[in-house]
Amino acid sequence: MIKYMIQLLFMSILLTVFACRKRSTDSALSPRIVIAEPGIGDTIDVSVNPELHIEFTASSDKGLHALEVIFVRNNTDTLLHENPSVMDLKAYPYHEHYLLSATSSIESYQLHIRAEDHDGAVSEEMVPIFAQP
Amino acid sequence: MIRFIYVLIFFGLLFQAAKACDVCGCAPAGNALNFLPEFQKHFVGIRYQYQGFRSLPHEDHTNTLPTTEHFYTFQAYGRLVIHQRLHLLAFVPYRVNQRSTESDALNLSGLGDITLQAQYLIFNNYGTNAKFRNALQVGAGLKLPSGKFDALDDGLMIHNNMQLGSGSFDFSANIIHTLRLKAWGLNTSMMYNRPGENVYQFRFGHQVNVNTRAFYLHEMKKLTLMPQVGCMYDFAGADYLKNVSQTHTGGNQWSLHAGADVYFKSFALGFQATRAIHEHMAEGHITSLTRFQCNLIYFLKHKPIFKS
Repeated sequence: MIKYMIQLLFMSILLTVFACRKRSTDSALSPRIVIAEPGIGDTIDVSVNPELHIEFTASSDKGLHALEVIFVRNNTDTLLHENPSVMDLKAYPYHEHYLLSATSSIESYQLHIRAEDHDGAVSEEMVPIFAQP
Repeated sequence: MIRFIYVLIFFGLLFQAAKACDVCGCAPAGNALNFLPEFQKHFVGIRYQYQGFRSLPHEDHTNTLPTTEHFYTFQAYGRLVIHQRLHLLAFVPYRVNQRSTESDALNLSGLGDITLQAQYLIFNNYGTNAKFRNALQVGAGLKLPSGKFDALDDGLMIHNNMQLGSGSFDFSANIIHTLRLKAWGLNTSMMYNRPGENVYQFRFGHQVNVNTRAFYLHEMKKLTLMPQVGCMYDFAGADYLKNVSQTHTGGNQWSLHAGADVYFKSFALGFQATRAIHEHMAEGHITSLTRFQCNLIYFLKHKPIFKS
């Protein structure tokens, strides 16, 4: 009986040890959004090349929960509103080409990116750009 | 019972190779079968492959620099002869991917995508008195997404071609024919690879490889030397992202290769160099460097596990 108890105790200790997890020291970190293009304040010459290249990566060690990409013209017209499926991914590469319509004057645009991880931490990035005829 | 033990040892070796790389991470690799001698023998082996490319930036990335990419693959592989006609193969790669520009460098290393393959010997008259000896086999393979495919560099996802794995289950099929006339021989293979889609809805383009090589068996006292030369054609379709064909991907390449295998007792040592002679890859933005490969094989047993 004592032998059985010792075995049980030994197994319990082993289970306890293997159940331990190193606690993350960066629990306060929000998801990371790194934008390759466009750069803040970039000006697109629509008559030369109307294509806007949007490329960024959202990442989180906790795992991403949601991602929202909004592209707005003159703070009023929503041209693009996407919610890519990122559930449980640790990183998500976003890569799209958007064709800007012809313009007669300089117009302002805003790229808004919002990422949320599984802990509810949120990161946001706002990139203003301009388009000229 | 002994057969069962061989099966256990074989898969045990594979398991150890995979387990050893769990800590580092993981890659897509060309698993061209190459020349696999001695149909009726199990073997385990190691293979080293080098591939290099120079890439020019295209119009979508006007602010990037030309890059040079080096891909080093260290691969453990083996064959288990289940039956005289049915062979199982496994390839476990460890990859080191390097990309360099004038200003920075990127290094990735870890376990790549493991491939399992079955080959069926349709016809074989080796060991008969026929003047022309033929062997014809067909095969099918499955590449597993064991390599890491979401590595980042300064917070940005690294290009799919540079990742250690593709993140997808890929299906492949092949047909291999070997013709022998006395000491001369001709080995021809065709391989088709159909990559699957990963969680980012990215899919590499399908690939076709046609390879033919002429060889000569030169018997010496204790070893056999087999020099060989050949020609290879590779085609890759465009990659797809969210079902949209990607520009600057895919292409085709003609190349020549030369090498030699040396057989000594239960060992086979091989070397091969491959040089592209005509290529059009990524709409002309990628050129390849000379590729090298060497391998060492140890033959385990002379008889199949199950005889017909």
